[in-house]
Amino acid sequence: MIFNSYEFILAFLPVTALVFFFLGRRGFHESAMLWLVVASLFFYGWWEPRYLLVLFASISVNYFIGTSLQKSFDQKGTPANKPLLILGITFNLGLLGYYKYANFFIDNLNNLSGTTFVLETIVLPLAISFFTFQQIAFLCDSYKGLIKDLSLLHYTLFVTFFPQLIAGPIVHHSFVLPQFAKAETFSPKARNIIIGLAFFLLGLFKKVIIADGLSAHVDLIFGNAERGIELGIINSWVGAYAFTLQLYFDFSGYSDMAIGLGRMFGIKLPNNFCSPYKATNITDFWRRWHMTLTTFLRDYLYIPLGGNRKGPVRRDTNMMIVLLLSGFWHGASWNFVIWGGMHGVFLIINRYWRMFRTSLGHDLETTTFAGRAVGIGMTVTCWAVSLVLFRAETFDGAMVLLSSMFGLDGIAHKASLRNAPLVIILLGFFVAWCLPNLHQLIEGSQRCCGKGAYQLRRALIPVTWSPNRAWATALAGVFILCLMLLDRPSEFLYYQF
Amino acid sequence: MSLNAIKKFWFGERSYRSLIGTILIAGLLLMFLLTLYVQNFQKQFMPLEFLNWTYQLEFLNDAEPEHNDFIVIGDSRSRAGFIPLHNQELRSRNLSLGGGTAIEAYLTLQRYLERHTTDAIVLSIAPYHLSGADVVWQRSAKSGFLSAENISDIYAAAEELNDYAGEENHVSFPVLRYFYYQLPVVYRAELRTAATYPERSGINTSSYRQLAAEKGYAQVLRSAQPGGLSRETRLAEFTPSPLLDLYMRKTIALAKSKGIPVYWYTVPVSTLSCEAIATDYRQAFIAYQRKLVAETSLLQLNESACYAPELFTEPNHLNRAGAKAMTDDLITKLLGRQFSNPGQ
Repeated sequence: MIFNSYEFILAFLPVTALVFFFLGRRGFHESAMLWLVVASLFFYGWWEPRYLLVLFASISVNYFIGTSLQKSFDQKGTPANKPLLILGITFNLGLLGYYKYANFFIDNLNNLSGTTFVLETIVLPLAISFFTFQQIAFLCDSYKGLIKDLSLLHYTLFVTFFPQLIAGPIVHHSFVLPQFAKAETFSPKARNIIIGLAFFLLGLFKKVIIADGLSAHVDLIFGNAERGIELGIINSWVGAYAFTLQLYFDFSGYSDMAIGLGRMFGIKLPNNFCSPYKATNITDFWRRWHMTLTTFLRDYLYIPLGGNRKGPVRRDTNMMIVLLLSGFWHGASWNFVIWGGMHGVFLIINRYWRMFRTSLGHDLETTTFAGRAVGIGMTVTCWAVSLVLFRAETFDGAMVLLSSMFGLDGIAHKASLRNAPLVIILLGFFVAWCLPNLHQLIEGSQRCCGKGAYQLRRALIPVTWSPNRAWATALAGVFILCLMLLDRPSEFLYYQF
Repeated sequence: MSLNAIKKFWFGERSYRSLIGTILIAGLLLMFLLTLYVQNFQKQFMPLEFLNWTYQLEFLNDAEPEHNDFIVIGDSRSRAGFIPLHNQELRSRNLSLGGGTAIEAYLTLQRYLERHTTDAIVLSIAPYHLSGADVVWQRSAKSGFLSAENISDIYAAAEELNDYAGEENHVSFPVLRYFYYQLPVVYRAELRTAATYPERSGINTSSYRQLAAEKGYAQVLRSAQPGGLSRETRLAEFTPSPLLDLYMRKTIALAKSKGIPVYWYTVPVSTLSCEAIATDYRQAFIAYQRKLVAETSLLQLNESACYAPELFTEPNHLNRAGAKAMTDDLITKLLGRQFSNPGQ
C-alpha cells in the first residue's frame, strides 16, 4: 500500500487511527501497540504478502540476538560476546546481500570469469534496506549495553511502524521507543493531528503535483538516452534538472508524509531533509540530504572506521569508503557505486578548497548573497550531473545523456521542449529555493535537526504557519486537489531501494 | 465587514480542536463547489469529442423547433462525413455523436421528434459500433446524455438479452453508476489534462461554435499520424450485438410509427482500408444490413464505399473535401429515393 492511494487515505489510515486511539484512551496501551503492529504488517503485506516471512524472520533473529547481547553486557558490565554481534551483522548483511546483490555479483562474476552461472531473478522485498539498517544499529547498541529490557512487541513496533517502514526516515531506537512508553502518546491530541495533517498533505502535494508532474518528462528524456538518441544540450539539462527536482520532491514528500503520519499517532519521527537545495557547497548538502541515512553511516561506519581521528589520508579514505558504500546501498549497480564515488571526490575537493580558502585568511562563515547564489547553483548542478548515473538504467544510457549535457552532440537542441513541464520545474525551484522547508514553516524551527544541528537562514519568502482558518482552508484545498489527482498513484522512487 | 474583521476571521489564531472542524467544513464546501464546476463548466476542461455530445444534447433539449428535409444520425464518421450546409437546397441537420451506437441513435431520434420534425432519417453507424459500445459511461453518462431512467431501460433490455454490448458495461447497480458519474473525482483525468493544456477551453469553444454554425458537422482534428487503416481492418469477424440490434430496430420502428422513412448509409473508408478489411467481415456486415432491410422498413442507400486516402484526415474520418464528396453522394442517392420537390 502506498501513502498516495485512495485505499490508504480513505480506509487504512482512518481505521487504523480510530482503533488505535479507541484502545489507547481506555488504557489498553499494549493492545493499541499490538493493533499498530497488525495494521503495519497489513500495510506491508498489501504489496506482497509472502515477504512478510522475510520481515518476520529478520525481526525474530535480530530480537533474539539483540536480547542475548544485552544479557551478555548485563552479566559482564562491558561490551561482550563480539562473535554474536558479528553473527547478527552477518545475518543482516547476508539477507540484504541475497535479496539485493546476489544477481549483481553473479553477473559480474560471469563477466569477469566467463562463467555462465544463472540465478533466477530475485524480487527485492520492499524496505529491506531500511529495516536492515535499523536493526544493525539495534544490535550494535545492544552490544554496547545501550538498550535494556525491550519487549518483542515494542521491538516489532519499532521496526514495523508503518509511517517509516518502507522508505524511512531511518529511525534510531533511542529516538522512537521512549515515545511509545509515554501514556500521552495513546490519547489523540488535536495539535498533533493538525500538525500531522499539515505535514502529510503538504508532503502529498510535493509528491502528487511536483514529483509526479515531472515523471513523464524525466522518463521520456532518460528513455531516449537509453535508446541512444542524442538529445542536445538544452533538452538534456532540462531532463537532468527535472529529475533533480523529481527525486527531491518525491523523497522529501514521502518523508514529510511519514513524519506527518507519525505525528498523528503522537510519534515524532526525525527530519530527513533540511532544504538541501539551499546548500551552498557539497559538504553542506550532505548534512541536509537524507539526514537519517548519513547519520547512520557516520555513527555506524565512518566513526568506527576511524573517522577523522587518524590523519588526513585515512580521513579521506574513510570518507570515500562511506560514500562508495552509500552508493552501493542505493542499488546493486555500478552506476550507483560511481555515483557514490563521485560524491566522495566532490566532498574531498570541497574539504581541500575550504582549507585553501581558510589558509588565505577568508572567513567561510561570512557570505554574500551573490556568493551564496553561485554556491547553491554549483552544488545543485553537481548533484544534477551525478544523478544522471543514479537515474539511468545503464552506464551507456548515462553516458549518452552526459555527452548531450556537455555539448558533445552539438549545442542546438534537436527535440522540441514544447512538452517539457517548464511550469512545474519553475514551481519546483521556487519551492526549493524561496520557501521555508516544512519544519521551518509548520513548527517554526530554524535549525536543522540531528546531531549536526545548525542555524538555518530565513527563507527568501518567509511564510509562517499558524493555526488559523486560512491555513485550515488551504490544507482542505490541497487535500481536495490531491484527491482529484490520485487516479494513477505512482510509487515513491525510494521504494526501489 | 471591516478589513480588520476579515483579517481576524481568516488569520486570527484558533484552537487546534476547532481547526479540525474547519478543515472538514472547508473540504466539504470545496468539494461541493468543485461538483458545481464539473457539472456546469464542462466545456472548460472536457476533451473535444465531449463537446459534440453537449452540443447535440443542448440542441435536442433547448433549440427552437425546426423542420428538416432529413437528418443524419450516426457516429463520429458520419459527423465528420456529412456537411448540412453544403447543399443549400435541402434543409438538413447532422445529429451524429462521436462514439455513438444504436442506443444513442434511438435516444437522439426520440428526443428530436419530441420538438422537431423531419421528412426522412439517414442512419449511419460504423460496424464496430454495432458490435459493442465503448462509450456508455465515458461520454454518454459524463455528458448527461443518458438519464438515470435511460440507463435503467438499457440495462433492463441488456439483462433480458444477456448482452451488455461489451463486458466493461456489465456493472452492478448501473443506476448508481449514473450518480457516480456526477462526482467530481470521476473527472480527475480530464481536469488534470486540462490543467496542463491551457488551450483546451479555447479549442472547445471554437469547436462548439463550429458545431453550431455547421449544424452538427465537425471535422476531426488532424491526426499526428495521417494515413493508416481504419479500425475494422483489425477485426476478423462482424457479429452484431443483440442489444444494439434491438436498438437499431427500435429506432427504425419509432420512425415508422411517425411515418418517417429511414435510410441506411455506410460512410466510406479509404481504399487502403477497403483492401485490408477481411472479406468475411465485410460480407457479414453487408448481410446484416440486408437482413435489417428485409425484416424492417429500413431502406438502403449504399452497402459500402471506398474513397481515396487523401480524402481522410486520419484512418477513420473524412476531411472536409471527403465530407463534401460524401454529402454530394448521400444527397444524390437520397434524392433518387425520396425527394421529388427539394426544399418543400
